[in-house]
Amino acid sequence: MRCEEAETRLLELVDEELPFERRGETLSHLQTCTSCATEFSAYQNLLALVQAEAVPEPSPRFWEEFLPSLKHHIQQEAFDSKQESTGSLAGLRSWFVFSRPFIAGVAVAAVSILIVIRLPGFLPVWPDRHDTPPAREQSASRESGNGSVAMSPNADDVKRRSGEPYVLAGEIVDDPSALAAAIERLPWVNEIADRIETAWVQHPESDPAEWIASLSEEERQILLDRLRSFRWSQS
Amino acid sequence: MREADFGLIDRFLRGDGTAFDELVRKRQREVYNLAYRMTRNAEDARDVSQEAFLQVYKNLDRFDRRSSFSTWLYRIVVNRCLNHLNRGSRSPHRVVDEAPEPVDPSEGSLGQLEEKERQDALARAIETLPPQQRASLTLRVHHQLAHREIAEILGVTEATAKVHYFHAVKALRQRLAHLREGA
Repeated sequence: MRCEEAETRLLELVDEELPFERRGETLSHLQTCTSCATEFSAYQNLLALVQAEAVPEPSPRFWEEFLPSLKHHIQQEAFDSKQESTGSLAGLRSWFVFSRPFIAGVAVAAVSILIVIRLPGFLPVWPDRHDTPPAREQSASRESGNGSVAMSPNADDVKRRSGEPYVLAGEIVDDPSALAAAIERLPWVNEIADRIETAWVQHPESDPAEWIASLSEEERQILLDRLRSFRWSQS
Repeated sequence: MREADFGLIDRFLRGDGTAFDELVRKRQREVYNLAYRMTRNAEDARDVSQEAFLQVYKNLDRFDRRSSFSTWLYRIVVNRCLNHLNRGSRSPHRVVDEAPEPVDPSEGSLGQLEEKERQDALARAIETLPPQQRASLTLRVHHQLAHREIAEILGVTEATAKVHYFHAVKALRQRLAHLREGA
């Protein structure tokens, strides 16, 4: 056997992976070749050195804390995954909670627009205070007399502001923030918002306008009745 | 060993939480040692060990038992280590909460210094090995696994696992040649 050939087998021999039939002739070669025997010995020493390399022993406290620490991680992980599973829902809910006035505003505004567009004449639209029915003014005056400040549309306000006004329960509203605040005071607005929220939680991709449009005739009637009886007041 | 592991796993899957504790206590040292030899850092080894057992806990019901539990466990540990190394681990040799090394100021300290130097040179040489070679070397030398098992752990063929191992040994031999000559 030549040295080159023996060298290719040395590692397998040290590793005890050399097939039996080659093992004998390689060992025979090592008995006669000092160079290859030295190489073989070097590999043996190297692997003995590697094997002897110790891992620094952590303190006893490390091992005492290992399992409790792992259990803590497991509990934390379980908690996190629970949070995560409800997270999207919770996040959505919190968003809804935060934006409920907005949702309600959108809902009511959309319904109002629906009323104005689809049901012309169903509710009067007053571009100017001069067209406001007297009964309405009386109602506003009564409320004003009872200590609440009536927010019935003011002709000056209408003239002062530009753009398309909202029409809500027969009232002209051109300030969205005031609208949202007023809507918040509606006793039924939370119920509507809850229903919209539920619809969005179940179908987050849906458009609230679609949801409103999908109201049944009865539900729409309830909404219209509510809008009609709405008194926009600021206490 | 194999049956004992499966017994513990069965108990755990039946809801016996203490079985998992037993499994961890039984395997924690070898997992830590493997992680340390791969990452060369005590903090990383601790983190990897904890992450590996956490993964075991979460996936034990998916363990199909086609391999031994230790092979499955080592695969998790090695993969964690490879991820850790790819992310960039801490500096080697920084050891936290390590038991202090006994200092021997006796006459034999010269020999000890030489041994220490040899060990340090070896450690530095091992750190230069590519992770797959390092894994093959560790699993072969310290865990006495067959190349077939190492291949399964690394997700490579047996021939590739052998090549990784032999390359690692040859590389170490080359890098530690000065020690051999000096010895």
